[in-house]
Amino acid sequence: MKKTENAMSNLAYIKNLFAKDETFTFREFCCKNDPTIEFCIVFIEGMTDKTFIHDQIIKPVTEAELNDASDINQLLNVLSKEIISAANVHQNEKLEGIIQNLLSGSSALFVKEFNKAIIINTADWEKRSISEPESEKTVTGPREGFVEDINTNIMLLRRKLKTSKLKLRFREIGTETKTRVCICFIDNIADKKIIEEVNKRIKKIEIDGILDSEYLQELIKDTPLTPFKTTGFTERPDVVVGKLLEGRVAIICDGTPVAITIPFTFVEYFNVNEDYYSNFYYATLNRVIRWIGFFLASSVPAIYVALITFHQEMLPTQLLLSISASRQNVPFPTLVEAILMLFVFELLRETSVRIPTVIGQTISIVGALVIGQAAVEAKLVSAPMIIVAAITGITSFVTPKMQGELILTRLVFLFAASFVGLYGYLFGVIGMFIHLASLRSFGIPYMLNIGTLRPADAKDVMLRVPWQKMRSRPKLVAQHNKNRITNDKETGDKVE
Amino acid sequence: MIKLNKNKAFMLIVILIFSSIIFTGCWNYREVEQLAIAAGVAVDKNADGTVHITIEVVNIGGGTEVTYEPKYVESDGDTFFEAARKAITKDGRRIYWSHAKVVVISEALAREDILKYLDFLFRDAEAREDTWLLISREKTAGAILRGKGMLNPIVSFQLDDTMRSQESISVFPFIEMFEFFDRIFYKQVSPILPTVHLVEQYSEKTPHVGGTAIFKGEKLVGFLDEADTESMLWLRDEIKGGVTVIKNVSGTKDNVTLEIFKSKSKITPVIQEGVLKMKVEIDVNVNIGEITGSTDFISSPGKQKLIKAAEGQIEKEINNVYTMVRDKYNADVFGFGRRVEMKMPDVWNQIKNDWDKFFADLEIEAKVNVNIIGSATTSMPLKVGE
Repeated sequence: MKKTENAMSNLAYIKNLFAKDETFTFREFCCKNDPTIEFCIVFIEGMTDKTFIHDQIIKPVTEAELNDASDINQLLNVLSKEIISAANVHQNEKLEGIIQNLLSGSSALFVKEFNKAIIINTADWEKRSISEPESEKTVTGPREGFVEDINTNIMLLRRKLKTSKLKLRFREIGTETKTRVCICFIDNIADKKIIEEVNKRIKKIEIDGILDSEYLQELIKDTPLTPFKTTGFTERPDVVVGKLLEGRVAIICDGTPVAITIPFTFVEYFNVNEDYYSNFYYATLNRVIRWIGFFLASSVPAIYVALITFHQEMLPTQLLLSISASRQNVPFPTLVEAILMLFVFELLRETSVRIPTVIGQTISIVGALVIGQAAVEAKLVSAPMIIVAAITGITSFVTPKMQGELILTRLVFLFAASFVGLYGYLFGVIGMFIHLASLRSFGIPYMLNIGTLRPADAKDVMLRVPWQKMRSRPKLVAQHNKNRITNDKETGDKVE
Repeated sequence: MIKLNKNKAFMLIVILIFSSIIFTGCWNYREVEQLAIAAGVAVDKNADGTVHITIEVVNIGGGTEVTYEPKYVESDGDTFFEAARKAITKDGRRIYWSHAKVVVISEALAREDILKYLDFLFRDAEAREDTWLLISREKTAGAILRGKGMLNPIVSFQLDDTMRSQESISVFPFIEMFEFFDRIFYKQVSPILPTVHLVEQYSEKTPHVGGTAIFKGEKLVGFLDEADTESMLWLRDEIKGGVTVIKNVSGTKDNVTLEIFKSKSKITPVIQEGVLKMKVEIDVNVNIGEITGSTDFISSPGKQKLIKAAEGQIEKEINNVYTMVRDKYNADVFGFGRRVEMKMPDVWNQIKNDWDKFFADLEIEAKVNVNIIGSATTSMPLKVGE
């Protein structure tokens, strides 16, 4: 490999390397003035702007009055400084670098068989336009979402954060995909230790390619095997900017509209950007609803099974009678029934995600009619169990980022409850809390300091206090620059 | 500190967790439709001394239209528990006691010894201590449960509803099972229980709660009717509501029904000239609920007349019932002994062993204060226009 590299010129080597790739275009031309100076421009069709290459490179170069071709280095300088009118031009003689640039859409201009080339950024390809992310819709607030292109995404961030303190550190991950990854943070707000830790973990990654930020999320996780997320993810630039302002670090990954925010604590599952865009009473109510939703989605089947099969004395008599009535002649034990219904629900959910939208309606009809009505009438399942499954299903969508976690906790609770009733359910809950409290996200306790909860820490957890009162950043995340409102409470003067 | 190696420590933790799961009292997976839910039970005594129980089980009819019907499981046994277990052989399913609302006890059994038969209810894990104990005034207790419920087909549930609305009727005492047992163990106070009998309504026999059964210790000694029960409740400071009818107010032919809103009976033992006496001061707020005539009781003088009549009538009734209970049964159903103990512990210590004797001569001094706080209407009583 090394030998051939030396024997051949870079141009010849590239020609050889991509001989069977017809998208590689080698356009040879020469200068009008002096036809002995031969040029060859290399670019990939489809990733480059051909009009731009013609108008700004080929045309000026052919028409330029070049006559001294003895010193090619000199010639290249003249070309890149005076003749080529492109914004992003540099010279490179390393074969690896040239190929890398070509593959990311740049054009390389070679002079004769000289190894050094002028690299001109001519990248231009079809991009998805900026639209509202499907997975994180809001009623109020900005509607733009990230796209797959990293430059556009960074542009979206910059537009919201016009400060020199916004730092962007680029890394390349993936031996084959060479995906560009950008670590963003605000210089004097983000904790240096966290930035260092992020850098360290990203450096350690050895993988052939990453296609989505989920790859990264898993690769840099503190506890790889926990079902709970210790890194946040979002498709919205406003969310990322909000987290940056709180002192968090964001990672944007090329090729995916999903950005990662670090560190991520458990309460962030329940915070939605819209909380900050609507009245704080309403936002607080919504947050409480989300917490209740989490409780219901994880516990309703377990509590139902525990009450029905162990603690019948805890139910009001009328309720016991009506549940007993609907359970008459149902062939399965309550536990089997519960698992069956939860499974059917997950089945419907997964199917409706995978199914083409055109035939999507079939699912709802089959789901509603067959499962909902026919199964009850045929006495295969009891009606209360359908209600339990429905409540569980609906409430689990209140915290959409928690789907997988919920399914798992729900099952664990359900089995625990079916063995020893509420006693077992409580064992499950205690176990979950112990697990959550033992987690850390980049050194930050996952449950924050839940044991020593003070009012100041609670103002952005279950509550969303008015902005005037939200004077400090999350204490554990931004440890060195806590104040977000820097004027004095009474006088309004700026204080340091 | 004992040093354990890792494996041993792990095993120890596993054993601890498992034993804490396995050795807990109540873990028992049972499907809800397999339970025969007992709504109530009636306890009778057979001629040979064995116990006969009638369990009212809720029978759930399936299908699209769900129906609840009473089903009766009868069983005999030497003891209540044995009879209850034998019921399984009749029904196939185990009787589930936690939702039983009432226990109806026959008069004969109560007269013999109520504790002898009810220990099970006090001891069993499933039976609740807030179950209602009722004394049947019919021949058998089973007949009460076999009566016909009016709104609720399950008689026991209807009885439960009745007991819970006691405070707006006050014709029977509101005593839960644990309270009754608590009193039975306290020698000097006579426990009471509500009684139940059947009345004919729309040619069906419906159970009706009203009146009081008086116990002396664990034995039933007698009954009070509904009117006397109300008077007794005044003396127990247990009137929470209800109505009282003042008849022929101050010589007119009009009856006035007073609705009781709030009542407070202040009962204090006093020693006057060396004799123990109970001073009863009753403050009662009433509303004029109904006037069956056109006499004016709203104006100031009319109101005074009404108050006087009401006070007089209540005082008289109280005195009558008190004397009757004291002389006939010598049972301190009013809880006076306890009040003496609380207010005058020294005196109580001297007399508690002879409390029955003291009670036989105990006088009360009742004083009733009636406050009419409203007439429920802004106009005069209804009458034909002039």
